[in-house]
Amino acid sequence: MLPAFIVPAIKIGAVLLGAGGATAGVHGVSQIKKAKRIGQNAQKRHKQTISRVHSSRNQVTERARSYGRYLLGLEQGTLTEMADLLEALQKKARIGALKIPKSAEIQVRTLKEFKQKVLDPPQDAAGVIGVVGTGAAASSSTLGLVGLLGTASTGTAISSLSGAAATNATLAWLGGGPLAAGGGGVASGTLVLSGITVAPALAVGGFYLASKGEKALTDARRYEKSCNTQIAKLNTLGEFLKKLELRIEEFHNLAKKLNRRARYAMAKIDPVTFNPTDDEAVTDLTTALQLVRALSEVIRTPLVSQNGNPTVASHKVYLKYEELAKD
Amino acid sequence: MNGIDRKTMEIAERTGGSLMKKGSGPVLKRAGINPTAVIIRIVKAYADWRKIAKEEETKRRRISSEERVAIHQINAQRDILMAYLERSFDERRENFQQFFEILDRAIDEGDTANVAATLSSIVELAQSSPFKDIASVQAVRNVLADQNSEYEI
Repeated sequence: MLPAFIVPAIKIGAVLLGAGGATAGVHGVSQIKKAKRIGQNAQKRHKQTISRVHSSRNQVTERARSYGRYLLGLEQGTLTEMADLLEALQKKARIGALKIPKSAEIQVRTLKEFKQKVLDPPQDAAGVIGVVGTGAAASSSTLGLVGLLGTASTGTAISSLSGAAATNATLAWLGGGPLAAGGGGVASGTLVLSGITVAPALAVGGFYLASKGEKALTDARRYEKSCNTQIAKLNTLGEFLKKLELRIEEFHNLAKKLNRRARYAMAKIDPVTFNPTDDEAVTDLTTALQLVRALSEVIRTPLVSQNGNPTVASHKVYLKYEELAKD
Repeated sequence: MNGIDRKTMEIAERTGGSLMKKGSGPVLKRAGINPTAVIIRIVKAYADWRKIAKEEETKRRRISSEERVAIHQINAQRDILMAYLERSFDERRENFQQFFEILDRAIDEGDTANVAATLSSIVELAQSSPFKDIASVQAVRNVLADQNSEYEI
């Protein structure tokens, strides 16, 4: 029979080992879940910010198109009418090429999708095999040990038995003897054996999992940092796009003001009655030409920059144009 | 091998490969059980976890610190840039308004020379992009940040 003190000792030891590892393992799982939440939330916030910036960019595009439509109207209206007026006065006129703003473009840096690399197949497999090996060795060795020492309830040495009889006798021995003799029987023996098998695996696996949790949390924070930094830069870009809208609005208003004055000046000139020796008529024509020329220069000025496009918080901003070639 | 492992191995050697009760060693060995190996493995897993936890905690603190600095810098630059552009657009609006007042007077008076000069100023102001100074704003910010640098006027 198994000495009475060994079973509780094994059980207590197994419970303590398993409990320590299991607690660490639970902590590790919690860290891994937390890391996943951190990474996914950061990625979600980053995507939402990109979406907001694209929405601002679309507003700039709308604003630019509205200005572009106005420019087309100018080209077909005031500029063409001025050219016609000059031709009526026997002067050659030519309308130069005009670029019509088409869309606002931005180059936004993208981030890699968040992927939790908690599991590293080759490394984890080695770890798991090691843990299982520890338990399996304890389990098979325990059966072997009992076989050497124990005696079945029938009085026969377990070492002389074989097959199911040997297994049952061994498990009953571990359980403190058969039920009939007041022991725990096969069921209790199985529990003891599984304790010996599972406890080391649980302990080692738990600590291993806890380490994985720590690393996962660091990876997630690193990813979150990249997202937060990018979000701050994208917010700067978003603010800049509002200023770009202001710039387009400035040009639109400027062109309107010049056009209004140019048309007023042009309306004073009648090509049929125009007298080149009349000072007042020549002054009116000069003013009209000056205004149209100024308007023409303003509407051909690049809205963003003459020399390259600005880089705002590491993001390039530019406007796309459609060129209207004229003879 | 860390300190705990080494100590555990020393104990294992002294006890003949077993941390079990005296006398049980040979019996366990005959059965193929090595409790010392099991204990070493558990202790090592525990020690590895604590070491990794400490290292990772340090890394996370550094990440947080770097993140705070980087975001503070980006936001500070944004505030400077936006304040500059805001002021720039306000000034331009006022200047355009004044130029048009002068232009209208010149047109009414038939002063074509003044019309030409004012229109030239309007075009020049329009062509000078408020965005061209973005790099200069950054330069000013760098000068302000560096106490040893000189700004040539």
